[in-house]
Amino acid sequence: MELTLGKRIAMLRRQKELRQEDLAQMLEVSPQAVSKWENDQTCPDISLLPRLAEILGVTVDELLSGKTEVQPAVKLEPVQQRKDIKDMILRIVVDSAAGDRVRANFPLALVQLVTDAGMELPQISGKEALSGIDLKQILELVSHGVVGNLIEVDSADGDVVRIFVE
Amino acid sequence: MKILIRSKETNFTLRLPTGMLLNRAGIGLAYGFLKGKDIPPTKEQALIIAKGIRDFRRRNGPWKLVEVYSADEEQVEIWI
Repeated sequence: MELTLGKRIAMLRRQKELRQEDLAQMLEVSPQAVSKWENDQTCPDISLLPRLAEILGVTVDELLSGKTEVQPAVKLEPVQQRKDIKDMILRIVVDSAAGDRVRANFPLALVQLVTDAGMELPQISGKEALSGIDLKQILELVSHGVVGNLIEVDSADGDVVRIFVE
Repeated sequence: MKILIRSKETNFTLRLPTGMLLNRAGIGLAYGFLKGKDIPPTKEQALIIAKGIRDFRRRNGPWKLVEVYSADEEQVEIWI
């Protein structure tokens, strides 16, 4: 059974671990508006679709048609589809064995500034799993169009760290 | 900047003026309070970070910098 637009928005939003309030804030609309979209009471304004699709990690066509291509965990973007580094985010996701969850979203341009200045990103988990991650190599990969789930580390103490570039 | 703290007992939102906190004067003031304490990042590094944050926000709008969910269901979010 094909999902409605509203159900697709809700599903993709949950996959991105966003709340309705988060999505609303990112799009500068009210949480009630997002709720109405997801319940198929109204549709998002056409001018919001490109940004909505971008946030949800799909194309506008995929969002509207529901026909999504299976995306590999890591992909190489063709030159003409590559986003400006100033619009990209480095997401660090840490799920600790104790049940704590940390999500940090750093603008990639900021990561570049920080590494160029000889600094390191804060070790947000305080765990060994993050200590060996080479941000310069990540930036090098991204400069060649590599995006997606670049790093996934399962540490010995049960923590899981993933680094995405979107 | 918005800091949200949610737990079973607390539902707290603190709004701070991002522009004032992340400009040269705001950072200078913060480092004035920390005078003599060697706390990374340095003031020069903090200015670089602040500029990166300001530029991204200007270009892409507000975004969630950090979100922490503890095992005992406390939640902290920092929006820029």
